[in-house]
Amino acid sequence: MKFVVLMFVSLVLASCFNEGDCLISATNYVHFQFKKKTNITTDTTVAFTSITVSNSNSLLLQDSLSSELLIPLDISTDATSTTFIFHRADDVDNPTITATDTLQVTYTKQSKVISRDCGAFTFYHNLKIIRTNLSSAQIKIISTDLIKDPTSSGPSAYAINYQILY
Amino acid sequence: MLSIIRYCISVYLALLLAQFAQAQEKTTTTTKPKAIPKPKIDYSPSALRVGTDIISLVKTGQTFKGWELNGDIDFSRYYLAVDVGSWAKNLTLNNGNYTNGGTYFRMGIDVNFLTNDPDRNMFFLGFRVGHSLFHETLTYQATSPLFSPANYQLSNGSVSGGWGELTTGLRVKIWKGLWMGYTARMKFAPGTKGNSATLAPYDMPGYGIVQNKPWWGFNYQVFWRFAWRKLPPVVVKKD
Repeated sequence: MKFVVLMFVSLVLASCFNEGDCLISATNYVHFQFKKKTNITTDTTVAFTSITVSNSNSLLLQDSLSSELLIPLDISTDATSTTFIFHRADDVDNPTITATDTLQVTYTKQSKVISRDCGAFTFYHNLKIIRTNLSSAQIKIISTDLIKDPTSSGPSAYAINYQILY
Repeated sequence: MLSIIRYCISVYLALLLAQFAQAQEKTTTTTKPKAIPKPKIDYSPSALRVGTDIISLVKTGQTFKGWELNGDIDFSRYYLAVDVGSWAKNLTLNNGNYTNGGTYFRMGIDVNFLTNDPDRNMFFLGFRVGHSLFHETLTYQATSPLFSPANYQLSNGSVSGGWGELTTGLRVKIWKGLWMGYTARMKFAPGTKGNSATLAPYDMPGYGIVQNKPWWGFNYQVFWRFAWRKLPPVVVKKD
């Protein structure tokens, strides 16, 4: 009887200390989609000459055509807002006419330990636009949380945060 | 006329049958044996069993320091069980370090299902309510293209939490007052309060990883039973 008990104890112990899979849904990327003003269900391609993000000296991209973008939030420990500056051609067919759009967003951060093997990550919530030159009719808020599907890749893996209508 | 006679006879026979049946019923009621009165259950406690979790002591090292004391007191086949413990962890993460420390207690009832065992060994099912008070710190490095790595340092000074448990296990008498046993726990419904908004509680002493619901626990325990009165010998029922 005691031997059976010990066997049972060993089996239960062996099953107690498992670590989960490393599936991380945390991200600092804001997902923008660009749609036509005249038909918000249709994608529009925007010719960006450059995009800059506050607290970063690098350009996110240069001379690129896009209908959706993933732009990172400032990850510094004391940052609670990030400013994005989009330099773009106002007319795709005429790149000499340019426009600049500015978006400043605030957010809250929560750090979570996922597991010992995966590590700790920052989760961004309550995304809010506090400053922009775009009209409110041009911005559609889809999600205020930054999250990604860890089982897939590409922009579609990230939750859409804003749709900008041009 | 003949039909009236027939009718009268049939009514008489029916009444006779009914009377006979009633008489039979009375006979069976009177012959039914009297129910033997059940012996009165003695709920007064007879002993206090105090023990410790061997697994906590064996696990104690670089990453884990902890102890747990267990006690129960009998009320017939029902046992009031109390566990008190402490644990502290120091975990190296893939991108940082996590430490915590705190104390906890659990309280609940175990029900013994081995009521015919002459040694009063136990196989029990029970439940517990747990409460923990702890602190934790987290340091880690976040990285992202375009930005310099950011070193986060966060802490939760005083977090309290609670949970429920379903338990099962054995208590086996080894020698005189020495008992050994195990308790397997299914812990559920963890809740915490008092943490900062910037750090989600990770590991709650007594419960484990807060985001795992349910979570499992296991104790292998040694006890000493302090008895203050002798219980009557168990009458083993034979089938």
